[in-house]
Amino acid sequence: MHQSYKSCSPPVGIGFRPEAYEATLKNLERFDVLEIMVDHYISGTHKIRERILDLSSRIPVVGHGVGLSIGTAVPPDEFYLDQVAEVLELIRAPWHSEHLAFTKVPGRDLAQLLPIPRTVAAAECVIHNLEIVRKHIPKPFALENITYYFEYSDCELSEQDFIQLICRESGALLLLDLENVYLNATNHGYDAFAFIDSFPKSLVKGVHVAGGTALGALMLDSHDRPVPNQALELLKYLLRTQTPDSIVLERDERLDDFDEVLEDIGRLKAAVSAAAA
Amino acid sequence: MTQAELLAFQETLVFTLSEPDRSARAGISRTDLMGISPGMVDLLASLALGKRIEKVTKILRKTCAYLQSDLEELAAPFAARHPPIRPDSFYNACQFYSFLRHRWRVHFPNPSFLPDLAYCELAMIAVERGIRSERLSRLRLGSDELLKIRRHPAAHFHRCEYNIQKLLDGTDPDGSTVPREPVCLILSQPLSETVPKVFQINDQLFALLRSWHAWSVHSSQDLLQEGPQCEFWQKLERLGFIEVVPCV
Repeated sequence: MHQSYKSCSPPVGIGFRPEAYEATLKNLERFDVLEIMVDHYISGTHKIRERILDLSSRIPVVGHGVGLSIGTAVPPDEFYLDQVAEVLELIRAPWHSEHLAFTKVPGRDLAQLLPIPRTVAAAECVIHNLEIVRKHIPKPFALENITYYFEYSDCELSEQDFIQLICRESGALLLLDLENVYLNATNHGYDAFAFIDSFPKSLVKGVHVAGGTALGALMLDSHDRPVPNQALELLKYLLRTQTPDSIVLERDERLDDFDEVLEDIGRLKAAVSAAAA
Repeated sequence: MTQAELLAFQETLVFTLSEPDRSARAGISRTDLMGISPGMVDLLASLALGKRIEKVTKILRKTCAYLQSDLEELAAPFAARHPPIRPDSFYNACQFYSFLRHRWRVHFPNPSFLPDLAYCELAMIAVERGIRSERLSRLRLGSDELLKIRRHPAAHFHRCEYNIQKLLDGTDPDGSTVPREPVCLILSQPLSETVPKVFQINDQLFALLRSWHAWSVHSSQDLLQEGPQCEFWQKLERLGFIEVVPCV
């Protein structure tokens, strides 16, 4: 049974994917933390659930979800929130995170993260939805910034102002996805370091890193490649001012090349050490 | 923008991205989509559909391997007929199976055993999700409990037109020797196993077990008399074919 995070500070680990269970278990000592997707448990088979419970008894875990759609302008599904709360208790996750996005509307679930129009009204919808989330999930809750491939014409706020407004008014924290910061800065032409500087100290609860691919001139958040050096530089920069609880590598595809995943973990730990030096 | 206006916009965007057919989106303007270009709409719709097909492929692995080059052509008509309602892979795979069954009424499946294969691949996942418990094997002989028995709700009973058992259990992974030979299969997860299994059983036992939808009450004394009958009931339970619970 684990008692606390291990050697690296902040702890470095991966997002657990059921198809990589054997490789994850075999290399468990290489990770300080695992991120468990609560939706894998909720809609998973007995085998997947047992594996998740087993892993959570061996290593510290944090929770993450994709099914909430906090940005939809209707109240969230309270039955789903209760399921999430139950899973978080079972796996003993100290906090939970979801995407600052919307994926569905009543009657249709695209299961694709879409950016929320950055208006004050939309922020108020999210803040109201977070009040409902808090009633069902009494744990610290973080919102993750997503990749967006286009800008809406009627945006009132910058991305950082939108995030900060919601976090300030709701008490939510930030799960800062540095790959998404890098992709958005590349695709939309802004300074990624200045973006990081805009967030107050102690707002960043956790960090995600991943590797994307290029589709013509567009960089895609594909989670199927090694972490680019630019994202590692952003991580070192971030750690000068923020102390996240965890740094999680997201890898969804090409998991048969697990050596590549382990190599990325090594690079992340080296970046953490370099930042501390 | 009010909350109602925001929801209306989100509905327009999600429904538009669910429509793979460009002509179906022809009436939607950039203003309706807050400035998103048609090219970007195409990209987002394509990414969303691609992820959905990936989910289906993870469940209907062997079926999709046989469909191969046709899969890309089938994606758009599938999405048009079965828009995305839920995110989980199993639900989307069920929708795709329904789509294929409809299609196979007109376009003969190639290979011809695909309908049996697709059903069984889907059923294996359904079996894995079922809850199993052991009752009979734990009762003492001579116990006087009243028990309810029915066919296990997580077990799937399927009469196949083709004998695909070897294709499912991996002894003939590429399906090179699939005879056209009707068989009765039960897909269940035995109590001692961590994965579902496929069992071929005779017609009479298949029909008998399949007919046990509803609970029937039995005395444990009747079920557990020492000898072949006791072993028979315990075996059915161990194989995951029947569910046994105490009467309360």
